Amino acid sequence: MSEYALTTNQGLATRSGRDGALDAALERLAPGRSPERPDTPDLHVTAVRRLAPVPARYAEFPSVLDPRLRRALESRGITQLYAHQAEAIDHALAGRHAVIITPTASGKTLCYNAPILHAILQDPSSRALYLFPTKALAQDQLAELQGLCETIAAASEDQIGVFTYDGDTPQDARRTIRSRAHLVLSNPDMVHSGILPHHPRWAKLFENLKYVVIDELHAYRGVFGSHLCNVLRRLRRICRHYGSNPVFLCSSATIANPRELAERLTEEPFELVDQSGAPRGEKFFVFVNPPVVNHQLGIRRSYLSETRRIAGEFLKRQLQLIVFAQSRLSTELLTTYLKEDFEDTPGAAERIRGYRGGYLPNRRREIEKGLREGSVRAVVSTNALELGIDIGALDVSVMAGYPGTIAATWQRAGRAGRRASRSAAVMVASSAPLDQFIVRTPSYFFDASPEHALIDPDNLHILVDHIKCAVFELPFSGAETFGRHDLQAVLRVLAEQGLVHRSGMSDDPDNPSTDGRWTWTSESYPADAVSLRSVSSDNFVVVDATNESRVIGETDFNSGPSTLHPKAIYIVEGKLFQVETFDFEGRKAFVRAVDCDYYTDAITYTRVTVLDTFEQGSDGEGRAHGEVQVVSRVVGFKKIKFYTNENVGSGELDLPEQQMHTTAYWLTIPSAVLAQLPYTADDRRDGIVGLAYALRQIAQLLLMCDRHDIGLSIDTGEEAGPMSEPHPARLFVYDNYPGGIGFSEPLFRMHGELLRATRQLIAECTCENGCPGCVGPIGYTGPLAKAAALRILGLLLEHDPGLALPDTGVKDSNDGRLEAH
Amino acid sequence: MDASKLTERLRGILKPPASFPPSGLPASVFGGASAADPSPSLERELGGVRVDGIASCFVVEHRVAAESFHGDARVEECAIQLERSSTRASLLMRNEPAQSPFVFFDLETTGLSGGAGTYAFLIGCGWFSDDGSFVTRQYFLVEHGGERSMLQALADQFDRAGVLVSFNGKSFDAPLLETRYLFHRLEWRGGERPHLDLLHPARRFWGGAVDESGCSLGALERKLVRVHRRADVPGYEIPARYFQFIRGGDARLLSAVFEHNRQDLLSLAVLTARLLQLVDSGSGATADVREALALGHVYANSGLDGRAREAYRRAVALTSGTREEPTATTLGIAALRGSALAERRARAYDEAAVCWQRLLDLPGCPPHVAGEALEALAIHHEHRARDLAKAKAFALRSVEHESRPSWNDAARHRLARLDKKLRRLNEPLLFPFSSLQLSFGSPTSARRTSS
Repeated sequence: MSEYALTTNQGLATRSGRDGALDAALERLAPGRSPERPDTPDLHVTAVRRLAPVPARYAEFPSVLDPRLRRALESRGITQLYAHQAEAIDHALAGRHAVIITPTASGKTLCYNAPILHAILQDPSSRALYLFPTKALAQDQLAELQGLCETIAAASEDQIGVFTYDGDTPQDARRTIRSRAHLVLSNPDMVHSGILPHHPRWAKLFENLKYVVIDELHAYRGVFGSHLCNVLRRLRRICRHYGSNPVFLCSSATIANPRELAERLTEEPFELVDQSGAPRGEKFFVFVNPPVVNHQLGIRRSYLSETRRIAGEFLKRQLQLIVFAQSRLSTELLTTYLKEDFEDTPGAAERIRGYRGGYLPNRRREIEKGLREGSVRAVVSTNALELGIDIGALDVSVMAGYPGTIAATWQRAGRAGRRASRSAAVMVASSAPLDQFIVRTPSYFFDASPEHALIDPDNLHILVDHIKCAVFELPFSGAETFGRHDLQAVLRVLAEQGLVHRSGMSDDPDNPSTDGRWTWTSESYPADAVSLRSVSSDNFVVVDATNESRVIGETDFNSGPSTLHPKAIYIVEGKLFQVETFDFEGRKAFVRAVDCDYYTDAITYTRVTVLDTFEQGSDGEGRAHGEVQVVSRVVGFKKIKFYTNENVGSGELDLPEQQMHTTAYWLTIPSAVLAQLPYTADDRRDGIVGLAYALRQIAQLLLMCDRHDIGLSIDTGEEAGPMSEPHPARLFVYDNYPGGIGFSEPLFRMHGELLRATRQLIAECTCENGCPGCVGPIGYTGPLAKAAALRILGLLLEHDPGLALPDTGVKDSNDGRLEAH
Repeated sequence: MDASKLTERLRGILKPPASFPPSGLPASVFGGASAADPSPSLERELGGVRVDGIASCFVVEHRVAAESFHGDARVEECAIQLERSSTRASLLMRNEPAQSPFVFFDLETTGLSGGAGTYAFLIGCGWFSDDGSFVTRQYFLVEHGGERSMLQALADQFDRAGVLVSFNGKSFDAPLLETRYLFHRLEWRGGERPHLDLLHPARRFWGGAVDESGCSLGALERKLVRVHRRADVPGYEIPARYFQFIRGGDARLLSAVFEHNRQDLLSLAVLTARLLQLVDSGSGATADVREALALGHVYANSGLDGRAREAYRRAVALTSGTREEPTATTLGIAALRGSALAERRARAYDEAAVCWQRLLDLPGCPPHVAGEALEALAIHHEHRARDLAKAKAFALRSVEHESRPSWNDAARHRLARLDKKLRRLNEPLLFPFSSLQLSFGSPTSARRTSS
C-alpha cells in the first residue's frame, strides 16, 4: 500500500516539504481543483475552505507582574505575551471575572496561571482552586504548573504547593494537601462531595481563596452545568462565610454564548476575551461525503472505510495526524485498519496508536508524549483527546463522522495546526441525518454561529438536592436566598420531611445571628446521594447471575425499562448478556451471559399531556412551550441483527408506566393544513412521523445536546374521533430529564429555524422515498412519508406569519438552499 | 411559581423517608410533645443546669458513689488502681507521658458520616474524684446555636486532663470534635493532649473474649465486668431521639440517652483500670494466652525487653498447658514467634533457636512463619552455633521453601556463602552441590540435587 515509507521524527519533512506533502494529499481528495472553491453538495468532496494564516499580536508583560514570575517565564522562553494573554491577565489582576475564548494551543493556561502565581508570590497566604471536568486534565495541568513553580523556586526559594485533590488522592495525603496546597487542582464532583461538606478542614483555602479557575467551561452544559451552577452557589456561600470573594477565570472553546454561560454558572458579571493574539498557520477544512452506493435505499459507502483511505493518504506522505472516531468500537476498528495498511512498513505498529478512555494512565501518558515528540505518527482517538490534553500541534485532523456540535468540530479541527506551516482538517460524514445535513450544507457550519450552551440550575430536582447539601454545610438564616425559587418555602418542605429544623430564638448573646436558623437534622450525608452527571440518583443495577451474582453496571431510572426489560440484550464492553428477570420495584435486573447475533431495541409508547402552557405563538403559529407530563411504557421490543440491522424478531412486554414532569416545546399541525394534503389518513400519518424523525435531529443540532437529552412524542389526534376528518396533530420535543433542563424555551425561540432546517434536510436528501438520513429508513415510515413531510412543512412555513421573517442567521432562498447572510 | 404550587411540586419530588417519625421509639414520649419552652422539663427530667445562664448549652452532673459497683467492679478500687498505675498508661500510647487526672470522654452525635453537618449533641466527660467516686459531666446542646459556648466550656475541661481516654476516639470522636472547633474558628487543643484510645489495646488484649458482635464497648463490659444494662437505648436510635426532641419533643426521650452515655463512660473507666492493672502487675496477672501475648507486645514496643521476654514465655507456657500445642493455632504461633524474637533481642540465642525449632515442628505452621524460622535457624547455626552443616541444611530448606523472589535470592546467596565456607573447611568437596550450579538453577533443580 505505502508508496512512501513511514518515517520517524528524524526524517520529518521540512516546513516546505510538509506543505508540499499536504497539498499533494489534498489533491488526492479533491483532484483538479484549487484548494478553495464553492460548495458542491452533490460531489464527493462537498466543501473546501481555506483559513488564511494569522500573524501573532504581542503585548508587553503588565508592569505590575511580580519580577520573580517574570524571570521564571523568561527562563522558560516566554519573553512577551500574546495580546489576549495580556488582556486576560489585566482583568484578573484588577479583580474582574473573565472568560477567555481562544483556539487550541494559544497559551490559554498562562492567562490564569500568571495572575494566580503573581498573587501567591505577593502574598503567600493566597490560594486558588482549579476545576477541570476530568481527572486526566487536572493531571495534565499539574505537570505544567509544577514545572513553572519549580523554576520559580529554583531562582527565589519561594515554594508554591501545587496538588491535585480528587477521588484518587490517598487518604493519608489529604491532610498535607489541605495545609500545604496554594493551588488545588480538582473537579466539580470532588468539590461537591469531598471539599464543600468538609469546609471546616479547608478553612485556610476558603479564607484566602483569591481565584477560581473553571477550565473547559463549554463542558458544563445541560445537566452537568446545572449541577455545577449549584455547586458554585454553595462554594460562594462558603467563601462569604470565611470572608473571601474569589475572582472567577474561565476558559472555553468556541460556543455562541461563552459570557452568558459563565455569568449563568457563577451569577457574576464577566469580561470576555475572545480575540486571540496567537499566530496560526494556513489551514484547509474539507468536508467529505462518502459516495452513494444504493440510490434507492440511500445507502452510502461506509464512512469508516472512507476515513481509512483518507488517513492513509496523509500518513504515507509523512504527515502527523489525529483521527477522531465516534465510539470506542470504531476507534479500535480504525486503529486496526490503519495498522494493517502499513504493516509492511517496519515500526509502523508502534507509530500508529489508539487512544480512548479505559486505557491505563501510563499508556495514555506514553502516547501523548510520543505525539509531542513525533515518534507517534498517527493516533486514533475518541473524544478523549478533544479536551485540552497536551499533545502538541499536528498536521492533520480527520474526523470519522460529524462530532455532533459545531463547537466540538472546531475543537477537534484545532488539534491540527502548526504556527508556521499549513495544516488540514477533514470531516467525513456518516449516513446519520445530522452528518448529512452538515456535509450538504457547509455554510451552516462555516458561517452560522456555534451552539448555545444551555443550563437550568433552578430545575427543582437539582436545586433541592443542592439545598440539602448547602444546609448540611452551613445553617441557612431566615433571610437567605439560594437560586430562583423561594428558599424559605423549600426549607419548610424539607422540614416536613424531617431533614431540616428551624431553631427558635437563641438567647446566646455572643451569637444573635443564630436566630431562627435552619439546620440539618438527619444522619445522612446528602452529597453522597447526588451525582453531578445525572438528575436523579434513583437507578437500576444490573446483576450478572451467570456464576456468582455480581453487579456489572447501572442504568438511570428513566432508561431502565427500555434497556433492561425481560429478554433485552445488555452489552458491556462488547460482552452480551440477556436480561432474565427485571425487578422494577427492587430496581434490579438479573442478566446472564449469552452468545447471540442480535441486539434489542425497545418499543416505547409515550403520551404527553400539557399541564401548563408558558408561551405560545400568535394566531397561525403552531409553536408553544410549557410544562408537560410524559407517560411512557415499554410495550415490546425488536431483535435487530448485528451489522446488517435486519429485524429478526420481536416480543411483547407488560411493564409498568413511568411518569415524568418535564418541559417541552411542541408544534401543532392544524387540521386545515392536513386537510389540504392529497393523501390518505395513513399517508398523512407517515408524513407526520417522517417529519418528526427529521425534526428531532435538527432540534438536537440546534440545542447542542446529546441524543439522549431530548425525547420525541407524536400526538396524531386520532384518538379523539373518526379517521375521515383530519385532527390537528402535535409533535412534542421534551427535555428527557425530570423537571426539564432548559431546552424547551430556546427551541420555541428557534421555531422558524427549526422548521426551515428540517425542510432543507429532507428536501436536499438524494434518496427517493426516505432513508436514515432524512425521514427515517424505509419500513420505519411508508413510501409517501418524504413527500408528505415536505408538503406539510411547505404549508406550515407558508401559513405561519411569524416565519416570513427570518429570525436567525439563515434564510430560505428561492431554490430552497440555505445561504449565509 | 407561586408558593403553594412550589410546595406541592416539592412534596412530589421529595419522597417521604421510609418511616417518619422514626419507628421503634416509644409512642408515649412522642405523644407528649409540647411546643412550650422545654427548659423546665429538661431540668426536671435530666437533673441538670444551664451553663452560665446560656439556655442552649445544658450541663448535667452525676456522681457514682465510691462504694457502689459497676458489674463486678467496685468503683473505688478502680479509682485507686488508676491512680496507682497512671504512669503505665504511657506504655499504651507510644510512650507519650501519662499523668492524672484521666478524663474519659464519649460523644453522642447526629450521624456517623462526618462533615460540617454532623455534630455532637451530647459530650460526656468522666473522672474519678479524690474520694473515689466517679463523676460525670455531660454537655448537652439544647439547640444548634449553643454549640460554640458548649465547645468553649468543654475546652476548659479537656485542658485540665492529664490523659484523655476514649473508645475509638482517635478515629471518630476526636476528628469530629476537631471539625466542630474548626467550624466555629475555635482552637482545638485536644489533639495535643495525650490520648489513650482504648479500642486498640482492648482488641489486642480481649478481642478473643468477645462474641461475633465485635470488640464493642458493650460486648467488653458484658464479658469482662459482667455489666448487664437494663432498658439501654440502642445506638442507632439515638440521633432520631435527639432530632425529635429539638422539634419540640419531650425531654423524657433523652433521659435514656444520657444514661447510656454515662454507662459508656463508667465502663470505659473500669476497663481502663483493668488494663492498667495488667500492664502494671506484669505477666503473672494474665489469665490467658492472648493477654500474655498482648502484654509482651506492649512491653516490647516500649523497649522493656526483660518484661516482654517474661510475658512471651508466659504465653508459650499457657499454650503448652492447653490442648492448643499440637495444632498451629494463631495464638500458639504468635506466642512462639514473639518469644523467639524477644529471646533473640535479649541475646538468649539458644532459647530463641528452641522457639524457632518448635515453630517448625508445628504441623500446619503457615509458610511465611516457617520461612522466617528457617532463615533464623540458618543464621543461628552459621553465626552463633557455628555448625555449618546444620546451617546449610536449613539454608537448603529455605531455598526450597521460599517462593518470594527477593527472599529466595537472599536464601540462595546464603547457601552459596555457606558452600564456600564449607569448601574452604573440608577440601576436597564433601557435598555434591556447587555454588555455581545452585545460584543458576531453579528451585526445582535445587530440590532434585539435594534428594
